[in-house]
Amino acid sequence: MTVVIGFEGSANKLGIGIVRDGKVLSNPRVTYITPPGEGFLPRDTAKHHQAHVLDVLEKALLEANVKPSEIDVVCYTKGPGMGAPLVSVAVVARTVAQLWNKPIIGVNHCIGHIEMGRTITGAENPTVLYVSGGNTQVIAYSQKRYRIFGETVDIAVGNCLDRFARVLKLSNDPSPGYNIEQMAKRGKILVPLPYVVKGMDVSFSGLLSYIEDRAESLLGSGQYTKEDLCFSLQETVFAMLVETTERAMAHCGSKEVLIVGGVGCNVRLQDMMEKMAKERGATLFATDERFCIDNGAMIAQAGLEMYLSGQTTKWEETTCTQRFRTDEVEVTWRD
Amino acid sequence: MFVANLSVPFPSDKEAEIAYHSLRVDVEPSRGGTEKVLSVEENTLSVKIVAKEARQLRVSVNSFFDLLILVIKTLERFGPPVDSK
Repeated sequence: MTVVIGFEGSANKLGIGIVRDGKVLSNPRVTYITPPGEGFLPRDTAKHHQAHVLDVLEKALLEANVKPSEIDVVCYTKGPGMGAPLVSVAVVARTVAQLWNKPIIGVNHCIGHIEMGRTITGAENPTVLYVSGGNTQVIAYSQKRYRIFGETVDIAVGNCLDRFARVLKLSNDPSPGYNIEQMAKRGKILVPLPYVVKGMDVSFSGLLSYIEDRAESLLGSGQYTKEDLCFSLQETVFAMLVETTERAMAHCGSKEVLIVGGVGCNVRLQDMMEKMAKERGATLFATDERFCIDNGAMIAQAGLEMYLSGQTTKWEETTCTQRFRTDEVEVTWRD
Repeated sequence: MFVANLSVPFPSDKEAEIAYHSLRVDVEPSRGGTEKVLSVEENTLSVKIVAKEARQLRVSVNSFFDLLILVIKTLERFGPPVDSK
């Protein structure tokens, strides 16, 4: 029986999770929410995490009904993410690892999402679409690495959605992506937008500039509503993601597709992916918002896999890195 | 060049050592223009931060204090350290 505690705080969500042999015992989380029209900045986000991390830690231990002495290994997000928030969380992880005299593991954020997605859904060897505010990647496992077959060449799809929410001054509570999703459900007219797929890769910055530049005049013309713009943006970016994912599935002969990351919560994206998977005779796997959105348990789950396969992190390497490619990690826990 | 030297006493040698190891591994941001050296002797944590500009020094010292305070709160709340096996 192995008990793992995971610390996650790479963006505006702070979470600490406790996992025992693949079962989530606790997973409390808090979100730093900025006013409409504003994004979260690293320094303020770090201050938010510093103010809340010890309360969340206590809550995780209480809800799991676990004592520090029962924990086998401490895991934290090594990267990628925002520098100051990452360090704020890592410092606490390092401190409790020493206090409790436990080994420590630095986990890649993206692999946290993948391993939690695989565990929760039971997907065996899926093609993975990892979509969030900071990442957009199409990934397949091969020869001890999570290989990146396709990705955004500029901004993440979630970043595109979040920034557009700022243009419309939508609320950031519970998340701008969620609020765009709700608006889109009431959209009726499709606005033509740039569709920028580049082979296996995608690009969103031109699309964002296009819709940002025209939002005011499109709305002012009376021909379109905010709901129509949200609907159109979703239809366009999600179709791009489905296309690149399908291309990867075809290339790998994959029969499973797994969506992870915060944008993976979006039901419309899941619907579109489900249609594609069905047409290909494949199965779609997706998690709900407890695990789609950044959380501590996903770091604990990936850390559990790493620990059981013999990996720990040397103290000198318990740093954080803002850039940490998914394919840099040797996947010692898979065949 | 601007230099700040900080000296922080802890209740015990062990706690000073824990704080030292928690704080020493992070490098300064590469474009921050600052350099930071930590050392520990008995129950005292010593920090030297060197910067090219006063503003950079202030930012770095403030950031360090935020993390130091976080370590101290963690020690207070989740300590004391268990004895090594």
